Amino acid sequence: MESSEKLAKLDELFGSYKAEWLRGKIFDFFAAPAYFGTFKDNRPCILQGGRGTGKTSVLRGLSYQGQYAILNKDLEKFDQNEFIGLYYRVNTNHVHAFQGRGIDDADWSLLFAHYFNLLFCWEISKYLQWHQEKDNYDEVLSSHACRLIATSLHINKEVDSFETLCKELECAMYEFQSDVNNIGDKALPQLSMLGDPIKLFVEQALNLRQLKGKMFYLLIDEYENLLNSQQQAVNTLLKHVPETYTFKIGVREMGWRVKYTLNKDELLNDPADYSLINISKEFSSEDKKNKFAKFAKEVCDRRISELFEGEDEARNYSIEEALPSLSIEDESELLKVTTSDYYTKFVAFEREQGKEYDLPPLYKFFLAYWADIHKKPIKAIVKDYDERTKKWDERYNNYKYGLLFKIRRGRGAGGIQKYYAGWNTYVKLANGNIRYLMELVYKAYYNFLQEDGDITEPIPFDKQTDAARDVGWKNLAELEGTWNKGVQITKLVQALGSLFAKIAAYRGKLAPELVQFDIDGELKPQTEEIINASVMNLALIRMSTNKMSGKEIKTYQYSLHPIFAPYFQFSYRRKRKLSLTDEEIRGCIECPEPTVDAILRRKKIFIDGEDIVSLQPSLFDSWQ
Amino acid sequence: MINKDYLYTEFCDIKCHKLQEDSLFFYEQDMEDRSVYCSNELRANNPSVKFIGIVEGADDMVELVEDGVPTDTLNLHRALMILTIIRQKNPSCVYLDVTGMSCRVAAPILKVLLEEKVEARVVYAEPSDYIVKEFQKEGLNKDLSEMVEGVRPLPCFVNLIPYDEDNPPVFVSLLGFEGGRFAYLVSDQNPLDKRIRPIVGVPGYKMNYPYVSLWGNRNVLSLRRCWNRIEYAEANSIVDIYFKLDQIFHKNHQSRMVVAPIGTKPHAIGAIIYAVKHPNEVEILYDNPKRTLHRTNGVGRVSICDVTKLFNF
Repeated sequence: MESSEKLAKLDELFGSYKAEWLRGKIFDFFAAPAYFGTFKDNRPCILQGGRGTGKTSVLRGLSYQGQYAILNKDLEKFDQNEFIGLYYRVNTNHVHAFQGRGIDDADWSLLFAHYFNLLFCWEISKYLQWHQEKDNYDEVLSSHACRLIATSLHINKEVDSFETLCKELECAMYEFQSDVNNIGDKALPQLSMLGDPIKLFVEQALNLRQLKGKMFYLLIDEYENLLNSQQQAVNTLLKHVPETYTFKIGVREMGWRVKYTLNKDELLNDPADYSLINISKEFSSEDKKNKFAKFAKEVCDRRISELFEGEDEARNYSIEEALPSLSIEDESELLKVTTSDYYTKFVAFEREQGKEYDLPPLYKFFLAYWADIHKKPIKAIVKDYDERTKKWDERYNNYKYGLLFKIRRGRGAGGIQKYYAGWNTYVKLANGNIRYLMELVYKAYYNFLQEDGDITEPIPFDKQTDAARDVGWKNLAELEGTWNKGVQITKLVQALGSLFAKIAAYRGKLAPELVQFDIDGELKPQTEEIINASVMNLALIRMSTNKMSGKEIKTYQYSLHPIFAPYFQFSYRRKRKLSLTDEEIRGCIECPEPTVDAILRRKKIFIDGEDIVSLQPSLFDSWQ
Repeated sequence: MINKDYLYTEFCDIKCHKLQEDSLFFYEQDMEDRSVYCSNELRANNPSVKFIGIVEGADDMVELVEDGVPTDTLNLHRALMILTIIRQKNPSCVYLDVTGMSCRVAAPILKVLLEEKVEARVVYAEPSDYIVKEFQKEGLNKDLSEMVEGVRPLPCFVNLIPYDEDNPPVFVSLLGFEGGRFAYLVSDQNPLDKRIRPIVGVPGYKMNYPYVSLWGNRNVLSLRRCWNRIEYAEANSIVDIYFKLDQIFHKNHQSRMVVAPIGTKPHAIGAIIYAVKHPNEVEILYDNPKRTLHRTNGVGRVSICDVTKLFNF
């Protein structure tokens, strides 16, 4: 395969890292996450996670089209499945039509209920048609059953066969669309009761020979797009699911806004009414991190192996070997620690003393750095080192990762100032988000292959680092469109990214790897809204702390999503934190540069003139 | 593609232009003087024409005003109501001055006129120039919530048919200067990146405007790798965009199409007419921009497009 062909293939396999973009191919590369088994049982399930966490892949993987493809289009195997999944993505442009226009909310709820019935009845009919086309021996719905279903939906046309039912269902959708468009001009159309036609159709379908003993799964993706009253309606169905069908719902964190049914006193509870799977908790908690790495490896290996020509090469491929990592000491040498000011000072000291220490260059850098920031001569520090070597080894281990940010820093340093390389690093940068991980791997291979890299060789550290930086930039740029106040989130990330980058590069008395923050005092509602939206849109990571505040309320600490670390250049490891006030967070959005400077001054960090890291334009850079 | 404007559009000297006798002229005043320029200038030479101002209220209700006196209240979602009011006045032709008219008002009226075969013309006064810096400032500093109200279908353009997951729609976005709107709609709809067709207004009102548009939208164009699928249609032409959409529609085997008219007003009108022509295949996706202060200067050329003729083509 030529390099250009490989790039095209890579693009096809990896470039479309969104399940929504892969469409038909999604199933060829489907890898089941660890929670897939739980999600497949008969109970209603809510799959909650930020964008890119794989909700759509899982839901589409459960759909009948997905299952058929995953089972290698083997109908016999497919028919052994105990469920039939019907996938529906909630489209804002469609469901937001059910509001306003002088029609009261109660009427809109009735109209939406009928629409929901029509949607899923149409989906059931499509499934029955699909299966019939594949198996001529399928039992067909009786004309009586078809008439019953049509009647339940108020389809007033002659329906005497399954064929006419399918046609009339399609016509009913279009007629209903027309009715909604002209809703004020005439009386409300005849409407069906929420869920009744679905229940009836499912029951009739499950009486068919080929569907005996099965169950329907109504798979609803992007539940957050439903209006509150619409969530209420679907919640009602979810609370009272019959034995014949159940719900599997994909929703963003904080996107399930209403947790009660049409009866406001009737709440939905986990685990009584549904089981909740929170993907970020599934993949990011310490005890479950390996699950994500294993799942991610399966996802990536399956795709990359398609790029190899020989079967042996494909079989022997391993993503860990393709993305080699660097030890901290090796990285410091790549960053040219041996030409740094501190190292040079230490070597001069050694020469003066006529004694050479058998220590890694980074350790020597560290001793000279420590002497400098504590305003002590190197001699005194080395004497202490000689006397308490174990203590110093401990201190060095504590500081050494943070030191990497201090070797080549600031403007004019040029080149790479910090490496982000290795499969494990990529897994940590993705923080349980499969889309981010695929973006990183794709970009690393893309950069490598574009410069005629050999696919069988490991990807160099600099290419991996460039890829990580590009992906950080891409996701920062995308924040703008993710929410209607996306610009504020982008600004907050830019300011915090700059703050933590400056702290990381700062040479002074400061605890290493300060990359988290908590809130000092109360947040105003508008600040809280931005913080919550930042968490929802993966700009920030929120972790609950064990401590309780004075009011016995659970408190949180935050960090920027690690995916931004390579772009700004700070540590992706969660170590130490500082406190920010409401005013400072608002300041980060409204006047970032003075606010960042003020926070630094408060921390007694004095850095000369380096600006906020801005969002670089990718096209027409010279414009403005 | 050869520009077919000359078949449907005339650029006229509004100070001495004669409208059809006994016609209706709808206009809406916004924050720019340009929005009432045509109606003010035309009144003197066209005594038989009824000039009707449209004043927008809440929840898609509008008030019709003749000679400063409110005459009717109209629910823009009620096509029959719109038609009845127009028929009552028995016009020879209906002129719709869209210069200051929001798409929520223009779209349902146009739909009724075209579907009910009422002779219709669209009038548009170009600005002499855009205050480009205002757009750039918005794109950089303003939240979407300050720019748009969110996705909600235009009155009478509700579409409820779910997409075929195996054959997703072509996503056509008519680009303007502010990139945030494009980013928002792409994020909301998640179109397949290979199905995105951005349309840039070329030639623009000014030579550099296409670059302003590309700059404003650069992030999405780059991130969604759709910059190599950009199409062009003359920024001030209802006709050119109409035929461009037709071309895209046929190139994609008449696959379903979602069109986001977030660029120039003539582009939006062309898209609306195309959606009326293809109600089951073309869906309008609209983010409902909020009215902002002056972003253009002066009045440029005035065009009158025979949209009935275009629709019947």
